[in-house]
Amino acid sequence: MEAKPIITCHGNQTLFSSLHPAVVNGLPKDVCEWRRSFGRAPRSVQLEGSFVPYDPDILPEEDTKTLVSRPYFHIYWTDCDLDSYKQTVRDDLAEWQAALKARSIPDWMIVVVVPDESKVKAKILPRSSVIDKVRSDFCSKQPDRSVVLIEPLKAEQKSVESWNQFFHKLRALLLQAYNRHLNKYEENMRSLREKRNEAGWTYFDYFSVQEELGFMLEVLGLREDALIQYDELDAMFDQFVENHASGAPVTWLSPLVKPCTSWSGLSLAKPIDLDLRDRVKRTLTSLLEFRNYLFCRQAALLFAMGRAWEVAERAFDFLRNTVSEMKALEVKIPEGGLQCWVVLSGLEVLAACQKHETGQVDRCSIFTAHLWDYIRAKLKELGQLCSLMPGMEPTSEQLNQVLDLKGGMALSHDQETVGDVPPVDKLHEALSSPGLFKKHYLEMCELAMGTYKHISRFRSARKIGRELANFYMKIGEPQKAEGFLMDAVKMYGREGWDSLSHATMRELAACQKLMGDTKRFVVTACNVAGSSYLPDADRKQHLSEALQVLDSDDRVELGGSRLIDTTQLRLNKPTVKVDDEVSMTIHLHSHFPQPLTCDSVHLALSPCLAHHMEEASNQSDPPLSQEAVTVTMDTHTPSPSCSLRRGFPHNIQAKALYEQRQGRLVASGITSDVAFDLLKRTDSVPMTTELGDAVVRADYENSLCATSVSLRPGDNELTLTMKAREEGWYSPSQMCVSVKGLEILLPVATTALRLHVACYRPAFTLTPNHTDAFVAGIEQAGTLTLHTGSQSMEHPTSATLQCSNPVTITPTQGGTGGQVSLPPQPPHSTISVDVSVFLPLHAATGDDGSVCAPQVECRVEGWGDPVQGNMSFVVPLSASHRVYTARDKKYIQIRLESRVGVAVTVTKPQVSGRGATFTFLNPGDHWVVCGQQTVSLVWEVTADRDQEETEVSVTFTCDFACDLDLAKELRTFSYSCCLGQFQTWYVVEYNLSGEATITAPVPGTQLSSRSMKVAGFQSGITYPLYLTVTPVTARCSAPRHQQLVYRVTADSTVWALAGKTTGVFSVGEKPFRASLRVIPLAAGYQHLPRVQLYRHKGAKPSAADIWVKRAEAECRSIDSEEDSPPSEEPDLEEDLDPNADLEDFSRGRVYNASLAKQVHVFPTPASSDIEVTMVTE
Amino acid sequence: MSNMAVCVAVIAKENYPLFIKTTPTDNELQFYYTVHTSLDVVEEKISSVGKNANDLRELYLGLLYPTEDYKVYGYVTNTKVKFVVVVESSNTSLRDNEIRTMFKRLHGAYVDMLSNPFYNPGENIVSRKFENVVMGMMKQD
Amino acid sequence: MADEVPFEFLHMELVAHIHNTSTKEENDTCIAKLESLGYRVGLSLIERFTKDCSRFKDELDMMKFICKDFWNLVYKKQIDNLRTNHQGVYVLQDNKFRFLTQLSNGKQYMEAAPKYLAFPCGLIRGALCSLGINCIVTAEVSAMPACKFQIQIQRL
Repeated sequence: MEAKPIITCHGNQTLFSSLHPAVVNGLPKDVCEWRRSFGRAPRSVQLEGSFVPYDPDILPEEDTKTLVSRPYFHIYWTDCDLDSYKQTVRDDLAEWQAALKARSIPDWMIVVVVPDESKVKAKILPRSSVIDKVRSDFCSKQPDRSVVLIEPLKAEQKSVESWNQFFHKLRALLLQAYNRHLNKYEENMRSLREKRNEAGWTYFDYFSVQEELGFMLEVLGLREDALIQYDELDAMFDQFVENHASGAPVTWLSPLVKPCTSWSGLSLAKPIDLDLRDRVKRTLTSLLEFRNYLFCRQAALLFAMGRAWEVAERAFDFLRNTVSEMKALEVKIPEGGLQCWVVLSGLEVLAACQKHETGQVDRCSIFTAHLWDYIRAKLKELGQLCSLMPGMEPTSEQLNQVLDLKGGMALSHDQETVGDVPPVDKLHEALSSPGLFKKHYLEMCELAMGTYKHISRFRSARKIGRELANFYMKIGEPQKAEGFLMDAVKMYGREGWDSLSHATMRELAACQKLMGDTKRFVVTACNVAGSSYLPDADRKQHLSEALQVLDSDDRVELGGSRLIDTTQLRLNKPTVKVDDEVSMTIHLHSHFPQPLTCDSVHLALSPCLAHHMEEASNQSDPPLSQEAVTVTMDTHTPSPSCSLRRGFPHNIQAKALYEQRQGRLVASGITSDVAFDLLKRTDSVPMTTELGDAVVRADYENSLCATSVSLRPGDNELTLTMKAREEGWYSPSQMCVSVKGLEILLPVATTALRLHVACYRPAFTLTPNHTDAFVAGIEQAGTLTLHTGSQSMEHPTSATLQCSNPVTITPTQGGTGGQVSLPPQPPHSTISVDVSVFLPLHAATGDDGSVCAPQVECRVEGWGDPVQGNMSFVVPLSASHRVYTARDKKYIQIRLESRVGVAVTVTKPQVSGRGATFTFLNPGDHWVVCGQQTVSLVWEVTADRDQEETEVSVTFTCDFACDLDLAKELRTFSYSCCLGQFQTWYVVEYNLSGEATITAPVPGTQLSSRSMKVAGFQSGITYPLYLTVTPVTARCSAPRHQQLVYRVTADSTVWALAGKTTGVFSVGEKPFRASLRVIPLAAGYQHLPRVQLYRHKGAKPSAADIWVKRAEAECRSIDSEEDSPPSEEPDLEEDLDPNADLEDFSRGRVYNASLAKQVHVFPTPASSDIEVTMVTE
Repeated sequence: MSNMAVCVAVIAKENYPLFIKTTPTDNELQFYYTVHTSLDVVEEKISSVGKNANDLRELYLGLLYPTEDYKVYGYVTNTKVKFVVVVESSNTSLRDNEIRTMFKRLHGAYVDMLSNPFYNPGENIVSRKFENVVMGMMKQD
Repeated sequence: MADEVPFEFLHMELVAHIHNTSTKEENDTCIAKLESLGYRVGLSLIERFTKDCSRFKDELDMMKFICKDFWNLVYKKQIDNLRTNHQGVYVLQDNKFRFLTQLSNGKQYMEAAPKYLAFPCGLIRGALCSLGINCIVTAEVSAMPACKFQIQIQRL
């Protein structure tokens, strides 16, 4: 009701009309707070009013039951001055007041308007103004009821203030009036409600009463409260219905439960349908109509409050509840009537919501989606009822039914409707013919589905999709249905609802069959056949249909990981040779309901890397005994959730972590190696779909196969074979089961199973027969062993052996050097040929002296690459030389050593060299060199006179023979060396003098028994050491007057040296003599101090140096108490620094005759008692 | 026992069914579809909890959505396991509180079942003890 | 929920048994086995413990639950310190971890510590995974009986 509360205005009407617009506009400008009784929350109310002229007739009675459209308030307007007041206005006012009082109306107000002050010529006497008069006359008890409006038409501060005051008062008084009335009304209403269970009480009377209150509240703008009234009425009615249905009938309800003849839907076009209201009041409506009315009112309020979504929310409950109410009350209604009503009302609500939505689309959609679904379902029911669904033929009865139904709905021009097309028209259309029904039904489905998708309720959307698909199938458009069904299947599969997925797949199969899409049908049918959720009969039927439908030309690929499980793979021989047979045993578990005769089963092998690069190329034969490798595949867990557990695995391979620092453990803990991989995983894991589309056929070039296999339901064992062709490492990748044109592909990739197809290369070795390595220099028997590997020789061929070194390899049985003839050989066989090998001795050693190990290449005719092989040689003999000296005689010794295990006989040793004569000293004529034993041959060397200083190159030759030698010839061995500067120039002799003889006990006996005479030296006593250097005059090529240096050294714990331990001298014809003093310190047989001779190379020092050096030399003397005997050193040259620039003589130049001399030194006699300590254990 | 459910379902975290039990009817699959579709509403409700901090963060979700014949109630544990109970609409004697207790019992039975070391989380529930609890709250024909 | 002493003893015996019945090469798998055990137990325990709680708001809420209620129920004390970098890494510090208190008070026997930490790590991981937080739990001990559990959450 948009009628505003009525306010009458009496008095100066012209005045009022001038002020009327201002008042009307100004009143609602501010809200005022209305405090309510019973502890209800205060509400802010915007008051409005419609102002009408006063008429005593329209004054309401006191007990008028209406709230709206009755005058609430009465205002008297005047702008008179005091005189006119006294004359006319006062009386008028009095009359007015009397009338009001007569009706007990306390809600009135007097407004005195004070016009422009400027117009007043004379000032009003301050004694009394009109307002005071008025107040005193009429408002003595209620001063609030009179207000002054000062200069209302001006916009000054004063006027604005007075306007505000006026409005304030007016509002307050108005509210007071309302409050009074409303409270009275509510009380009335409440008492009426209390009586509801009494006889004679009708709900509808009460309904009107409460509705009036609702209207009033609405008028006041308190729509929320108005809605509450309707909600209360709603709840009360529900309660009554429930009671009535459960056996406590109320009389006033009976007319409502009459058989229902009309089922027109809601109409939300107008906020209130007054006709209907009227009928409600008079209890003339049916249940449906009443419900319509109530909901319509509620909806109107909600729309006005901007809560369109709530309308949609309530609509669903409303429709459902009404339907169940009708059922509970057993109201007779023709079949389909209720559905019609639902459809009509639903469409109306949806249209209204759409109109009012603006900005709340999402919120609305949650509820409108449900609504669409609901009315769609109802329409479907109608369709089935009236045989309008595809495939149904309406009978005449049904046609009549349709007419009846149509008759029960209001015609479109009778009812106003929101939206462009009235729902009635739509339904009429839909019911008129199957074609139109189809159109409407499809539209509804699409709308429902679209709305669900919009609010992201995909499961609900897919459910409707299935319904749609069903429908399309019925109308013979399976291709449209297919999409929906596939979506549904995917969704159910993805979420793990296999039972639903398979049930839908069955429908999909039917759809695809209808479409004639053979390939897809076969795929789906097979999946249906493999499902454990569907009944056996269905599965078998699908399987047989699928097989029937397959033509031999078609090729259909199907990912079969849900149809067939591979449980175990066994590779019987993991390593095979090329052209060998590979066999594998496979255990399969088939989910098909019937035995399946397969044309073939293939297992594809794909090449893979060999993890440990075994030296396959060097193997000449496959291992003899091999164990079969068995791999058990992960069996599919029965629950479909395995593919869904995208979460973390149970086992993250945790391991202990130890942190060390400086060798000590500072921290330990737990860590996981796979952490990084697991944490970075994203959510999108490609999964095999239910229909197995994602499988790609692998490369079946290398594949094992078995033909004509019958797969029983359950476990099966198959053996597949193939011939190994190419070399490499392989592992299984995919298995293909072919039935006619259908290929079921199963991934079986596993790295645990690896097949090694080896291609063995030919190899050959040359080995000597009796020794480890070939002996150079002799012709030796050897064996050439050729492994053919994977190659074969079909005809007799020849092999050419080539070597970098001048090695001759000759087969013993004919053939020229380097060519070996070979008979035909199968692969993986060995052939041995006896050969003799000869390497001349001179070529045996390389430049650096190392023994050569030549590479041999064997080229076989008919094979591609030459085969490489190695040979190794050793030299049979090795020689070394050494020069020995005895004074001035020189000897050369040649030592021969054997390098082979076999004995080598040496004969005719010869040494020759220019510039020297050699005299052989060994007796005998042949020597055997073998093993570790060496043979030494000695010659005396005499240098020719004119070959004194040059080097003599010496060549040693001998003949040798070895048992290994096939040729049995005498071979020559030679060795050359060089002797240089080997002549003796000087002989050094020295001795100690002053030997004494003492008596000493024989060692090993007691002191007092036998004794003997011993000669020796006493330790601690100084003895002279005489040194002589004699030049070897005979053939001595030593340069004359060469500066020589002698040096005496000794271990300081054994000898103490005194005197000149070193000195420079030169030797002429006569020998040089020197002496020094030594003190033996240690007892026993001691070697004499060592004397060494050097060549001096320095320049002559200056005199001063000599002087210094002499002093130094004297200071260096140890214990020199005695004078050094100068007389025995006549040959000392001027002192040259003996320490500078010493040059060694080359070996053999100096002969030290006293090198090994030893002298006996007695210990110092004990001077005192010796203390002996015995230690016992 | 007056608690008469027509269908009881336990759904795993990833939305696949761990356990569904329905009263034996001709068309059992329809309950499966109903439960599956109700997951939409369940997800909606869970995802909106965080946004309104004032919402009572109860595990019980209440009435998910009504159809003409049935009412579907939902309950989600902290571990995102969902329980769904379908009740006939005509069973008006069933109060909200009773439904709550039904869910509490279900939750308790589920926790007990999970504590069985022979049960691998994520597998279908086959425990007879659990089934008995569920049968106890279902409508017997 | 678990009485302290029997639980400690049971855990010790569990660790000892698993290590004694494995060969020398499988040393690392013992730790992995213990962790898996803990995972499974954690899954079940968390269901029981959260049965009567209100719904968790967010990840932080769940972590707080682990630190306070869960730890209390299992080890009869709370976590002493929880730190996070708000990027999915949480560090739980327990200054007196129940399984380590009887081992040593410093660095002695540190090489044996990981064995006793495997099960608790799995426990936390199982609990969190069940709540919907996929994570990896690692532990570190540098001075017994204090130890740190680090939780790394999978970022989606």
